[in-house]
Amino acid sequence: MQATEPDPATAVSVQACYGCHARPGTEANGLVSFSARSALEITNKLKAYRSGELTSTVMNRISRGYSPAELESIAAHMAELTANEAPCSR
Amino acid sequence: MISRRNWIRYSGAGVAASFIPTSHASQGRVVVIGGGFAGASVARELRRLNNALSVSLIEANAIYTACPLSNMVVGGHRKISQQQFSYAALSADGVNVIHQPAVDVDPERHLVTLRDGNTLNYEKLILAPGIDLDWQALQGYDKTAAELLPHAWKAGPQTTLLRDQLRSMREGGLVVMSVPKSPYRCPPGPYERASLIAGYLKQNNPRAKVLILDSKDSFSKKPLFLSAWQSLYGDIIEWQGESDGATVTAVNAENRTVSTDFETVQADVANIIPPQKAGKIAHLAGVTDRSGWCPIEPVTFSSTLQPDVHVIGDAAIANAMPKSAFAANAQAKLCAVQVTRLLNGESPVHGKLINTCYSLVAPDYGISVAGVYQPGEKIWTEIDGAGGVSPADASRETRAVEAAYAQRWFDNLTTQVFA
Repeated sequence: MQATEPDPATAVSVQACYGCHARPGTEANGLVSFSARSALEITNKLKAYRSGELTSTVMNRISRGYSPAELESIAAHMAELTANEAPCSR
Repeated sequence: MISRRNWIRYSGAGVAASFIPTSHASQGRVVVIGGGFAGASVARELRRLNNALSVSLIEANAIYTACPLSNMVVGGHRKISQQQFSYAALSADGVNVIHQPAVDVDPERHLVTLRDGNTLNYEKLILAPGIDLDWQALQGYDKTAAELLPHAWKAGPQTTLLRDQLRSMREGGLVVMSVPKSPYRCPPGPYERASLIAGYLKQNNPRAKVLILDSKDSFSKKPLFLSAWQSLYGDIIEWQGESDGATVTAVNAENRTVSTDFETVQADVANIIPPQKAGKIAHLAGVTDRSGWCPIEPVTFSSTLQPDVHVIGDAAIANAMPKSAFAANAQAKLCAVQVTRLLNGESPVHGKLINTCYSLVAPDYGISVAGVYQPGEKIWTEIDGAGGVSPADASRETRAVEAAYAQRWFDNLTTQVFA
């Protein structure tokens, strides 16, 4: 249930991510598309950006605006949107 | 109820279905005024969230000319046509796009009047009028003067006018830029523009100079710009701030002179970016305060001054969030959620927003500022510890990556909003 109905705040946060990243199901001309499909992969990456273990251009600065729990919810929702849209977009 | 019956049905291609009355509780009438990054985004997003909503977008121009990357047009790296987008995809999504200006809003009767005299009734009105240039703010600078001394702060003919003036400037000429106090559209924009002008001059008119007369002492990404100017353009760009007495107080368009309290500078090309305020319709709707901008309830972007009116994008006072295309799009997506929920009788969501702004110091040299924001009771605040600007010691490879990201960000956003 939680997977199909994310809490609305998470849904709002994820939409902000699509300011840069291609929205699943649209032409993949975004900054970086989500090749990392699983929620766990996305979570690990976001947390690594947050801790500074992984460096990037803006993602370190942006990920620090969220708690680890928020990053987990965001990742779960993103992975789900990506999985749902993938068959149509490829 | 009478006004609702008077609501005019505009027949846009392929939108008829959305106007067929249904018994769904979620059916509502939303009117959006302004088809920039905020307005076009919110209109499209509303239809995506609930295709039973009737959404009308009122936008005077049939073609939108985007500001982000328009400094690359000034510098000769992009064509103005690469900045231009139509509203066909919005119509295809069932947005009723009306190409004429709104001339009045009656918040009490929930009524928008169009130039042709027709009216539109709304349950929720979303104002996204962007900026108007304040033609009263700077002595000697009015619409006629802008034909000689372009502002180029709304992309379009003004952008190409500035580009063409640079191209025909005499050898060794002086470009003077006047930059206003905050707040204004695109905080780092003037400095990106100075950079790309300097790049053009370095290639084509190497003895020419750029003089920035700024009405403030600090600006977005200042240390990054100053250091990049030094390394890329040597002494081509000179910046003077408020403490140097550089606040421009008057211009003379015929003579091409720009005056501060201390001196009058003879320019060969003058780019005057005047003070700004919310677009006119916001003033007519009664949603502006004495600052000239629109106060909002942070969570919903609803006006604090009129009921059932939301204001997003450059016209809104979003506090820590800058007046940028990224922020406009982020606010629009949040506002669409809130309006959809409010029309369904649901409570609004507390969500965080992001902003990222890239600036091109050269086509292959990008710098960025990012922030994460949360709504408080009164204001949007930036989350401490997050956000910030590109590192001062980043490599040229990183600068090149950020430059490439700037262009891909633009492609992604314009695809999302207009394609």
